[in-house]
Formats: sequence, C-alpha cells, structure tokens
Amino acid sequence: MAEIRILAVDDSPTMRRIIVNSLKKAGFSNVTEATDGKDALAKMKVDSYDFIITDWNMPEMDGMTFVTNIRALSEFKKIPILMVTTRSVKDDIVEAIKVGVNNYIVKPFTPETLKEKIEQVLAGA
Amino acid sequence: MQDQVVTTERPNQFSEKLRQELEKLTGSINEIMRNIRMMQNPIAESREKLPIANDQLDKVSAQTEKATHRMLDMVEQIIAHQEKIVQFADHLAGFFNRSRARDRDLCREQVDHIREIAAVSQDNAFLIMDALQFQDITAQQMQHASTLLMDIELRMRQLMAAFEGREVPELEARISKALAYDPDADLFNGRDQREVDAIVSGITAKK
Repeated sequence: MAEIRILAVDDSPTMRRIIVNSLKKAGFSNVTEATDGKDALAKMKVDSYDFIITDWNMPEMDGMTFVTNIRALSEFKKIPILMVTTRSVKDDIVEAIKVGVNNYIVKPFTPETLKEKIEQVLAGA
Repeated sequence: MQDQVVTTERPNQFSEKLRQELEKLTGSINEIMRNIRMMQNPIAESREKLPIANDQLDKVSAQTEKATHRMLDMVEQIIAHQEKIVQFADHLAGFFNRSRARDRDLCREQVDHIREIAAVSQDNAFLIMDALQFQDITAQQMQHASTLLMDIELRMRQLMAAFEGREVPELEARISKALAYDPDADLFNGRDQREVDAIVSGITAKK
C-alpha cells in the first residue's frame, strides 16, 4: 500500500508536534503541517493529500469553516477528514459530522486512538 | 389624571416643610455624589491593573509553551535513542545467529531482553508526550480567562465614562479577539473517547 499523505491542521505548535510524532509511531511519516484552515486551503491548492486531520478552534479560519469550504469543492468531496479537538459537547460532535467530518477525537488523545480512527476512516472511505 | 397634594396646612407652613424636604434631598444627592467620586479612584486603579493581569496570563502561556517544547525536544531524542538501541539489538542478534558460541541461546535471550526494555522505554516516552497535550488545553483556558478580563476592563471603562459624563465606549468594539479557543477545554473532565465514539456511531448509523 502506498504511503498516504496527511495534512495536519492545528494552530498549536505543541499539538502539531505531538500529532506528527504520534502519526510516525503509527507508521504514517508523510505529514505536512498547517497552522489553520486558511493555511491548509492554500497548501491543498499546491499539493495533494489523502487524509486531513484538523482542529476546531483556530484563528483566521476555524476547523468547521475549513471543512465546509473543502466539502463544497468537488475535488475534495470524498477526502477523509478526522477532527481532533477539545470540544466534546454532543451538539458540536453532531454538527461536525453534519458538515462532513468522518470521525472525531477529543483531546487529550493517545497515539493508539489516532491510529485506530485513521484506520477506521480509511476502511470506510 | 394628575396627583394632587391635599393638605390642611397653611401655605407658608407647607412651603417651609417643602423647603426642608428639598434640603434633605439635596444633602442625600450630594452624599451619593461624594460616594461615587470616592469610588472612582479605586475603580480606575483596578481598571489599570487588568491589562497587567492580562499580560501576566500571556507570559505564563508563552513560557509554558516554551518549556513544553523543551520537554518535547528531550522526548523526541529519547525516542530516537530507543530506535537506535533496537537497531543495535537486531544487529547483535544477527551476529549471534552466525556465531558458534556455546552460549548463543543465552545471548539471544539477552538481546530479546534489550528489545523489551527499549519498547517499554519508548512507550513511556510517548506517554510523556501525550501528557504534554496539557499545554494546548491550559493555553485555551488562559485565553478564555484573558478574554474575560478584557470584558471586565471594558465594562469598567463604561462605568467610568458614565460617572464622568463622557460618551460611553461601545462594548462590542474591543472584544474583537478571534475566538481561537474552546472556553470549555478541560484536561481531566472532558468527555471520554468511548462516549464520543458512541455519539459518532449513532449519527453515522442514521445516515
């Protein structure tokens, strides 16, 4: 199986480092980082990605606006998206799935949970 | 219909009583104004301290982030060293397989032991890394506290302006800081991942 290209979107440099290391442990080493939705959209115009991991609360463009924007574009309609956020209110989770998020992780998370959810999303995609 | 004052007193007596009442009222108003003037200074002083409190929160947030990154540097180094130890152990195992040493089995056992220790040690390093997620969560909590302080400061400005008879500043104008944080972010009392999974499964099953 070809190595999947992951775009990790989070405004926290700490979280980006933890996500990148957790992905590496899970066997995913082709990871690009973006600081918010706006930065991620700019990167997606230049390079192609197979999987997106995004935070919710970010400056410039938050995760929900980012997901709504990319789902509106035909080329990204089916790209797998995993949301990793501190937001754990039921209505938020429901809203995220409605706008097009494939699965949802609450922070703090473990590398095992991250691996499990990526595999679940990829299996269902 | 307007209320009428009904009195049996003579006009002079009535106007004297009214004058006395007005004097008392004037005294009370002056007393209230004096109290308000006395309150102005402490309010102004408190308002001046709020940006300092805000700066302190920003400082704590920045220094915690810096310290977290130092710890991440060390954890990444530990993980890299563990990977090297496993590589050396694999290399040694290959060497023992080729050797004619009588104690080959014992050596293999030792190599397996090194691998086990390295794996446990690497798992522990990842546990430290997981724990460092606290920085992202506490940073969001501090951003929330900072926004609340800004809100209090603005309300105090409004109060001061009202006391001094100046134009009251708009409340919304200064609370323009982007909401790039979760006000309910919680390190220990957030929802369990299993509960989240159940919610997600419930929604996707309905689709």
